[in-house]
Amino acid sequence: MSTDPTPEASTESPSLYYFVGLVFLWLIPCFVVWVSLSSLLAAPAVWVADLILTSALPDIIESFTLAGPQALLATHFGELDGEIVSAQVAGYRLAYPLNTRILTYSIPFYAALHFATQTSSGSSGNEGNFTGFGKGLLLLYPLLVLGLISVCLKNLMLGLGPVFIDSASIGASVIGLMFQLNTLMVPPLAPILVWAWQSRDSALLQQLLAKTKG
Amino acid sequence: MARFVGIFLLVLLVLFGLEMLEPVHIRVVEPFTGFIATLSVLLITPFDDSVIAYGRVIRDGVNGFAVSIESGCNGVEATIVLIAAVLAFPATWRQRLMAIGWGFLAIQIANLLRIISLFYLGQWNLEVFTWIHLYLWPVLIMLDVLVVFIIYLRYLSGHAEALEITAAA
Repeated sequence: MSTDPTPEASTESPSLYYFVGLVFLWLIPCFVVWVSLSSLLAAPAVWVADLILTSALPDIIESFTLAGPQALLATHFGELDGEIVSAQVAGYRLAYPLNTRILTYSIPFYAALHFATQTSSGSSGNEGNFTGFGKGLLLLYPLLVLGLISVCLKNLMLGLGPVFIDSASIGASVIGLMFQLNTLMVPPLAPILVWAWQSRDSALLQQLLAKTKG
Repeated sequence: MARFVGIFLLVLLVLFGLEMLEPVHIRVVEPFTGFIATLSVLLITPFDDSVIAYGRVIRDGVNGFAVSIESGCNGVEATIVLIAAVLAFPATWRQRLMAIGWGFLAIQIANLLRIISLFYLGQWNLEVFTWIHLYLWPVLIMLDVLVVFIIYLRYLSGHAEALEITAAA
């Protein structure tokens, strides 16, 4: 533990601004790659969400598939004279589009934080660039799946109303809370939590946390 | 670290749950959001006097373009994240309250920038508005929270060392 804060404080000061600057710089290529590959990046989460949704609600959901950056939640229902009826009776199928980017923007944000840390610390005391990044993605994807499921449940609740609520045995308030949490809070916050956990041994966080604990 | 994460997530979920309660939303969040809209217009008016606010809506009186400030755009969620992080980290209550106060201010300054920039971006190009609104500003606001929290940790770090030096002397 240092007993002279002045020299360390002066060497620490630029590192925060340097790091934030690097995050801004990394955000640009990360967002460009994300826009180009957004459907590819969303695909694993959509696939898992499809498995879960069609298994849990087989009488309501026909499929949850990807169409470009959008995902489409197809139901077994249609609408006839303002009433929700089966798709066979209605002659068409109700489907709800979902913009996967409202959830997957957490990936470029996490990438920018991860690679900025790697750049600023020269990978010392941290996992390799791409191995660590891959592990971070593995932590983010379950949250993406949860986010997709939350948005789908909200769409079904608003679209099908009692037909869905009665058969799904999930309270409307629970769906509302899940939706708000997984769309407002999780996408921008999860990348920071994953990054902080992975970078807890990096030079940047060590400097900030170790001395405070002391 | 595990203790920090546990307390952080607990406080986060409790505060977020409180925010979602209808009475809290009606009596606290909505009036606060209305105040943010009014404040945004007050900041815009010296440069553009055609802008008006009513409730959570900011409207251009000339071209009719309007934005409504909804949940997620009022800085409340970002403030909740900051409060949870500050409360989860060991410090005195005075330090915590100072961090929350200054942090709230920093978040709201960034949020006012977000609202005003989006208001004008929307009048220029709706596609750019949507993109920046949905994907970029949430990242920047959370980055703001992170920077505030790191500065707070640096303050605590410096304060702890100063105390150590005083004790050693």
